[in-house]
Amino acid sequence: MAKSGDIAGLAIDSVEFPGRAGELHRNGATASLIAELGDNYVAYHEFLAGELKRRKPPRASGKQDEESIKEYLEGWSRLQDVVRAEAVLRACRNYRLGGKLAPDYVREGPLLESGGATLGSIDSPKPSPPEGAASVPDGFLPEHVAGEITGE
Amino acid sequence: MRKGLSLKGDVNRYHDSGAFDNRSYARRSGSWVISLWVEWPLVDAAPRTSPPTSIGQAWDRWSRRPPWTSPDLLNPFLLDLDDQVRNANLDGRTVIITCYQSFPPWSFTDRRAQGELMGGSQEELGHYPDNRSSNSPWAWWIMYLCARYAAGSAINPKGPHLAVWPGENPAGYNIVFGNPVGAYAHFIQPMNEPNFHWWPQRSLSAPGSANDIGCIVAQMAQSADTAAAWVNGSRPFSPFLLIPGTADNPAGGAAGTPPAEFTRAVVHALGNWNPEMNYTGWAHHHYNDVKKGRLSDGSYRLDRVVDELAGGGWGDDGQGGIWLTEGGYHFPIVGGPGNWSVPNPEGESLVQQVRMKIHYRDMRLMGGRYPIELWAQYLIHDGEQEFQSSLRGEIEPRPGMTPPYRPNPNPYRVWADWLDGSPGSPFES
Repeated sequence: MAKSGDIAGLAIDSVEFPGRAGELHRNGATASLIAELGDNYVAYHEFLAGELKRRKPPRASGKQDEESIKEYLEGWSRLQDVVRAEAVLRACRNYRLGGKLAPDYVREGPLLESGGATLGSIDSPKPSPPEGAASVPDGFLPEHVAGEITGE
Repeated sequence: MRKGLSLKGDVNRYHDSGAFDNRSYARRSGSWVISLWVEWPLVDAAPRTSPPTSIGQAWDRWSRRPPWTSPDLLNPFLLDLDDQVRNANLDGRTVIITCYQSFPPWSFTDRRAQGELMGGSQEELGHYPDNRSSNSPWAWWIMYLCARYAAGSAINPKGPHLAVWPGENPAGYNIVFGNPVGAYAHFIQPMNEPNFHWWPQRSLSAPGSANDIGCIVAQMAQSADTAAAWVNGSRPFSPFLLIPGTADNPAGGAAGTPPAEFTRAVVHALGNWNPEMNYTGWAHHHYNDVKKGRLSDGSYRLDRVVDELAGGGWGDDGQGGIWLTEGGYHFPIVGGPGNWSVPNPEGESLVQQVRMKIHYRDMRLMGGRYPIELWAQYLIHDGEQEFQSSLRGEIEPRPGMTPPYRPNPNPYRVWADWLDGSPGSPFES
């Protein structure tokens, strides 16, 4: 189920971006958030790379009670959130560059490196949106969000 | 290369059940790997309005049957699967549990009104779950299956659950692992043909993305790995995972994502993933390669998939070879519901036999970075159904009926003669 504050349907759950992106996310300003993330890939990527290092992969403790299992699964889920946030970040960048809100792993390289220990990066100059890049594909975003992007 | 049977439906149950003869046939035919199926929405028949709110509640629900309050009313679908798995254990078979391509109605939001597309071969319940994280009901489900069929568990008369039930005396067993008959599985295939049977292939948030369903599947593969690894980190041994169960037939669009394109998306989305489980196999299906044979350049369609696996780095970290978990000769069929039939069954049976033989031989000889670990034939018997690919032909599940086997030349007998490594095997020379 889509959650409030999702970016184009992609939940980033436990990840809270710092600075302006965090503020926009909390306010549900999705279109502005996409622009902020897409225009500042390097800075937000560095934040996420740090988050991945900070959130250690949990290990099964041998405890078999529900709380311990939940803690283990939640720990992995929080790691996945960081990786997914990187995918979202790349998608936002692609949107600002070419109008397509989707990551392209084949072209951009993997999300994870070093056997999953570090977050992969794409060499990212600050994008300048080409003319028409802000056009919204049909059925792509809710109307009010599409309106925010296109200024209609 | 192992030789296996993928057995789904009432007429293919792994039992000593009279006319169907599946169990003794598997033994006689040297089919050392048995894939048995489970349908999550059958195990969990809760309505759309009743998602489980915790893993404990979910496991309680799956071990029992509605109204999920009695410790003595256990889930009949899983009890039946337990029995089949146990039979295969007793026969020394390697067991795969394969999850059918459907999800409980409470696990997803149907957005067709908003423009999501459901392809022609996709079922209402084929929508993948909204929540696919490690701490999602789907991950709980895979963890549940791993716990239920973990090797080394003591007999658990109730099936896995996380808190002692009222009136239950759990002396002598661990409530978290095992099943009432001590059955265990070697592998779980948590996804089946997601690039064909799941919908939507392109979500509303990424309508033009070629790797959309690949991203979904990659995330679910990681969640399944996390779930299995927890079981493996406890005392019993979890089944290993076989992912993603790629359909080899889709051509594109809402009806499905082509196998090479899908494989590329999954391995790149997984990029450099190091599974927690120390072995994970790549599951792929092989209907098209069996039926259509080699391409004009002499390669198989599977070779494109192999290229994508290599290009995406699959196999670098704890990941294994290719498991052809479902395939065979897909018969042309005419008619309609209640009246499906194969035209020219004699001729088609002969073609089936030849095509299977050629492909089986070629896969057995295929070397390289990704060895073929399994070649599994889908079905011994066909039910009355539109999709038929069995060895023995259509059979109605009526007690006491003599099966109308396919006429000679009979692939049922031919398959039995293909004993790997046995004297006289056509693949020994």
